[in-house]
Amino acid sequence: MKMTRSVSLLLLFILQCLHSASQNRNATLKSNDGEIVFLSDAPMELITAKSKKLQSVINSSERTFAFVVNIKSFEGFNAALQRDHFNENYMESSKFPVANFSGKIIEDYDLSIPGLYSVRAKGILNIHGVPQERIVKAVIKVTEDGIEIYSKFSVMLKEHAIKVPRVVHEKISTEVDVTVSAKLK
Amino acid sequence: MLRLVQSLSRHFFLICVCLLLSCLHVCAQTPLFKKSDLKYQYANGTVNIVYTDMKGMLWLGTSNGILKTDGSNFFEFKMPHTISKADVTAINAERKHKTWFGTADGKIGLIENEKVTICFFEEGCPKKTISGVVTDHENRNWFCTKGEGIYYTNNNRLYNINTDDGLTDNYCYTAVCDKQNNIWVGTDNGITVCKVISDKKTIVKKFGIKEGLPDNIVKDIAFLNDTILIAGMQDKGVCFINTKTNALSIPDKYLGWRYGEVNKICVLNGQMWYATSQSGLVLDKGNGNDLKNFFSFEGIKFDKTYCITKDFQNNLWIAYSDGVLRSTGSKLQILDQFNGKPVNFVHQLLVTKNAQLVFTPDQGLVITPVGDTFSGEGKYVEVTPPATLVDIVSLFEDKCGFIWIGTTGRGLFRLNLTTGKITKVLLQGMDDATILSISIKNNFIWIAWLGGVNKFELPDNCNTDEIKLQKVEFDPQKKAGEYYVYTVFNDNEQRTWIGTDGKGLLKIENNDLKFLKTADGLNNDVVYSIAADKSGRVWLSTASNGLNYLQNDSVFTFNENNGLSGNIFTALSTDSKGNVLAIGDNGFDIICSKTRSVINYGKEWGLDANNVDLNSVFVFNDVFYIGTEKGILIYNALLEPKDFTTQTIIESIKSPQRDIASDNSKKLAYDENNLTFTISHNNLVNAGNISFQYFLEGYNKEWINTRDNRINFPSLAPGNYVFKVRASSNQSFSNSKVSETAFFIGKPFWKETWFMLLCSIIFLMLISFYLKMRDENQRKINALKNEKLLFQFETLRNQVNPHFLFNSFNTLISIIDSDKDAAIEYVQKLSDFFRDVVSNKDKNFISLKQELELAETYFYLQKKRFGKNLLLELSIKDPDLKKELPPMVLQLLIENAVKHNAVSSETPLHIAVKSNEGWLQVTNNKNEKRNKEPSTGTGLSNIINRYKIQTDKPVTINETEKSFSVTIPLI
Repeated sequence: MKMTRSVSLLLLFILQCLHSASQNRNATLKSNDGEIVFLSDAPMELITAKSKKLQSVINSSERTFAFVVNIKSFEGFNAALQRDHFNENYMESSKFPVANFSGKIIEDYDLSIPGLYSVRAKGILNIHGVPQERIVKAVIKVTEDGIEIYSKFSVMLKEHAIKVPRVVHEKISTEVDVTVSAKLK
Repeated sequence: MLRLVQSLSRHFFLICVCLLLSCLHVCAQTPLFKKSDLKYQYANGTVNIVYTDMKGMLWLGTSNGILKTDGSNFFEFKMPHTISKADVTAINAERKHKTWFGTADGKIGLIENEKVTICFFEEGCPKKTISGVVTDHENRNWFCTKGEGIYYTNNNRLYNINTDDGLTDNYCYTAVCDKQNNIWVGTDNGITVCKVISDKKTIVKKFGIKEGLPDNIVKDIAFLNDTILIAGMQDKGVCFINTKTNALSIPDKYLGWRYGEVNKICVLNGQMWYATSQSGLVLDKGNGNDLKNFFSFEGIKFDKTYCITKDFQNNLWIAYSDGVLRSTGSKLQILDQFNGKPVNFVHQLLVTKNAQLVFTPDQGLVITPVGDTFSGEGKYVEVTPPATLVDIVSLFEDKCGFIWIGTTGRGLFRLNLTTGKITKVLLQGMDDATILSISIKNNFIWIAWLGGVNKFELPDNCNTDEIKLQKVEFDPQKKAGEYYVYTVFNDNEQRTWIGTDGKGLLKIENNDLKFLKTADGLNNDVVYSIAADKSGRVWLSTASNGLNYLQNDSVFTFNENNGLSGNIFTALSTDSKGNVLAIGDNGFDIICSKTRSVINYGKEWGLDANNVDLNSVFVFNDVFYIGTEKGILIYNALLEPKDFTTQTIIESIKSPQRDIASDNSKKLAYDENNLTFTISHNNLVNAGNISFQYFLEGYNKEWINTRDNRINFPSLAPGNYVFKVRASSNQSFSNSKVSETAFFIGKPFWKETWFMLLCSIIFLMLISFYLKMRDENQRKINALKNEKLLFQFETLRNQVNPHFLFNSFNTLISIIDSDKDAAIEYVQKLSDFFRDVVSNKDKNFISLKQELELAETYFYLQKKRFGKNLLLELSIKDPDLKKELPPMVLQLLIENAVKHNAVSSETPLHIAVKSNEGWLQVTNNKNEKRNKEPSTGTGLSNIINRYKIQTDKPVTINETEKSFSVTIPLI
C-alpha cells in the first residue's frame, strides 16, 4: 500500500518534470499586440504612424523569430488623406497587405536565462513585396513573464521599391526610422 | 711503401667520407634573422599580425593596438575613447589611406587618413574575433570571424554569411579574393568559396575531405600564382588547389608533414614560406628541393610563429612569441655549421666548375657539393700529412680540375679533387713561400707572393699530380721594379691586372705594362681587390675613399657619396648581371648594375664587425659565397627587388586648419596656404641610408635634398602646384621613381575675376551716378537762373509797367493839388519802392520782414489810389519774420489781387496776409473785373516754378467762388 502510493507519487512527479521539460524545449513565445512606429523626418513635414497590432513569435531555443504587421493597421498620420495615400499609393497595401521580418539571432545566448541581451537579428525584411536581407540590432529582455524585444532600425524606401514622387520629396524622407517594441509570452 | 701510404690516404679519405655522411642534417645554411627593436612601440603586448600595405609600409596588429612604420618612424593610431584597448587580429588596406582592422572582441575599425573610427555600422559589430579582412574587386569589404561566419559590406550595409546560408562552418580563419572575385574562406570544416553576384550572396563551391582536403581545418590560404592556391592546415601541412580545375594536389615532400599547425603562408620570389605554431618557419624553394625548417638563429628561438609577410625589399617580417623578427630569407643565408662544427674564420673559398664548394674553416680544407642545399656530403682533407697547422691563403682551380693551394710559409700545393691527393708544387726558391694570390688564365699561372709576382707557363697536360712550371718573364725591361702584390686578376679581355701595395694598379696588355696611380685618378695607390663586370668595367678597391672603376680608359670614383657603407673595401666580385659586390668593414654592399642603387648588409643584420680576409669571395651561378668570421655568407643578388629602388609615399598633407584628403584633386582656399607634407619611404631595413629630394612645381626652381620627412611651405601664392618627391639610397636620384600629388590654391575672393568685375561695374555706376547728380544740380541751377531771369524780366517789365506808372502818376496828380506833404510822401514812397526793387532783384531769398516792408510800401502806393476800398490785413507771427522767401513774391501776389479784382466801394478788396508755421497765406476776396488788365499770366506760375526749384514744399492755390488764396512756404 505504502509502496504503491509512493510509486504513484513518484510517477506523477516524473510526469510533471517531463511535461515541464518538454514545455521548456518547445519555448515558443508569441505576442499579438506589439507596437511598431515609423517616422519620416523630411524638411517640410514630419510624419509618424503607429501600429499596435504587431505579431511576433520567437523560439528561444532555436533563436529564430518572425514579425508580421498589417500595413492597414498603421494609424496616426497627419491627415486621413495621408493615411489613404500611404496605403493606396506608397505601400499598395491591397497588393502587399503585410510587412514581415523573419530570421535568426546571430549571438549564441541562452534566451531561457533571464537577463538583458544586446543582439543582432539576421533575417529577411519584406516590405512592399521586396525582400531584403538585413541585420538589425535589438535588445532582448528575458524575464520570468516572457521576453521583451526593443529594436530601432532604418528602412531605405528605395530598397523596397517604394516610390516617392518628386513633388513630395521634401515632405517624405528617403529613409524612415522604425521602432519596434513587443512583449512576448 | 709509397703505395701503402697512397692507399692509406685513399682509405683515410673514404673513412672520412663514411663518418661524415652520417651528419647530413646538421649542415644546412640558414637565412639571417634579426630581432626587430620595435617592441617598445607596442608596450610589451604580443604581435598578432605583420602586414605590408600597397606602399610597402609595415603594419603591426598587436594586443595593445595598431601601429605603422617605415623602418625609422612610427605612427601609433589612437583609438577613439569608446574602446579601452584594441587587440588587433586582422589588418587589410582597402586602398591607399584607407585601412580596415579587426579586433579579438569582434570590433571592426577603419583608419582613414590617420583617423580611427570603430563600429559605425547600423547593423552593429560582430561579437567574435575578426580573423581576417579582405577587399574584393567590387570594393566590398569582407570580415571573417571565429564563430559568426563571414560578414561583407555592400552599398553601405553589412551582411552576413553563415552556416544557415551554406558556409561550411561559422568558425573562419582566413579569407582571400581571387581574380574572378571569388572569396575563399578557410574554416574549421574545409574551404567555402563564395561570391556576391548582383547583390545576392552565393556559395560557389566547397572543399572538404571528400574533395581531397587532407585536413578540414584550413588556417591560411595564399596564392602561389593566378591559378594555384596554397591552403595551410592545422595538422596535415599544406595542399595546392588549382582554382580553374578544382584539382587538389599534395607534392610528395609535403607527405608526412611534421611541422604542425600552419598559421600563415607567404610567397616570396616564387618560394613558399610557412609560419607554424610549434616549429618555426618552413621553406619550400620549389624545383624539387626538400623542405627546410628554421626555428632558431644565434640564440633567438622562434618556434612559435604567428604571422609572416614580405616587404618591398624582399625581406621577411615574422610575428612570433617574443615580438617581431626580420629575415633576409633566401636572399642572404649563412652556412655557420658544418658537420656539427661551427664554420669559423673562412679565409678562402671557391666553387669548382663541378659545383663543389671548397673552403678553409680554421686551417682545414673542406670540399662539399653545392646545390640548393648543403647536404653535408663533404670531406675533410688534410693538406700536409701529418696534420700540422697550416694556413691556406689562396685557392684557384685550373682547367684540369685541380685546386691550387697557396699557404703561408709552406709554399704551393695542388689538390686532385678526384682522388683527394695533395701534391706539393716545386718552385725554385719558393718552397717556404707565402703565396698570397693565384690566378690562372689560358696556360699561364700568375703567382703573387711576398717576394713579388711571377708568371709561369703550365704544361698542356695538367692532369697529373706532379707538375712542372716554366717561368715566363713578363717584365723584361724591369719597368715594374720591386713591389708587394695583393691580388692578380685576369679579365675576359686578355688583360692581367695586378693590385699592388703602394704602386697603384698594374695593367698588362699584350705584354705592355702600365701603371695607374692616384695621378691618373685612383683613390689610393694601395689596391686590394679587382673585379670586372659584364660590360667590361674593371672595378677596384683601394685603401681609401671607396672604389674606382675604369671605363673606356677613364677612372671614376664610387664611394660613400654614392651610397656605399664605408670607404675601405677589401674584396670585390660581380655576378653575371653586372651587380657588384663589395666587402668591407661595415659588412658588404651590393651595387645594382642598372641603377647604381646600393643596398647595404651591415649592422642591421649583425654583419658589421666582420673580419674579412682579402678576396674571400667567390661567385658561382650568380650566387656569391663570402667567407667571414662567423661562417660562409651565401648571397643571391637576383632575389633583390628590381632595380633596388625605394619608393616614396606622400603620407599626408596638412594645413593648420585641416588635413587635406590625400587623393583626388585638391582645391584649397587662399588662406589654406601653409602646408606641411609628410613623406616616407618603404625601405624598412636600411632606413638610415635613405635621403629624399622634393620639388614643388610652381614654387621651387629645382630639386631640393632633405633627410627630413616633413616639408613645410609656409605661405604659398594662389595657383596650380604639383608636389613631387623621390628617394634614393645613394643620393643619385636619376633612377628614382617619383611620387607626386597635385593641388590648387584658389585666389582670395577679392582677387577673383567676378569680384573685380563686380567692383568695376559698381564703380562705373557710382561715377555715372555722380555725373548725373552733377548734371541734375547743374540743370537745377540753370533752371533757377532761368526763372530768376524770367522773374527779373517780369519785374523789370513791371517796373516799367506803363499801367503801374500811369496809375501811380494819376494818384500822384490827385494828391499833389490837395496835399503837398502827402504828395511828397507819396513820391518818396514810390522812390523807396523802386529802390527796394532794384536792391532785391538779384537776391534768391529775403527775409519775410524785408518783404513785408516792401509789400507795405507797395500797398501804401496802392492804398493812395484806392483809398479805403483796399484793405490789407496782416497777421504775422514774430518767429516767422526771420523766415525767408524769394523777393517780390508777396508784392506780386498783392499786385495780382489788385490786377484781377475790381476794387470799388461796392466791392472792396480785402487782402489778408497770414503766416502760419512756415507758410504764408495770401487771401483775397474775389471781385471779377469786367475789363481785365493785360497780364501775361506768368507771374504766379513764375512764383510756383521758382519755388519748385528751390524747395520741395509746394505752392498751393486755393480758389473758391468768393475767395482766392495762395499759400507759399517760408524757408
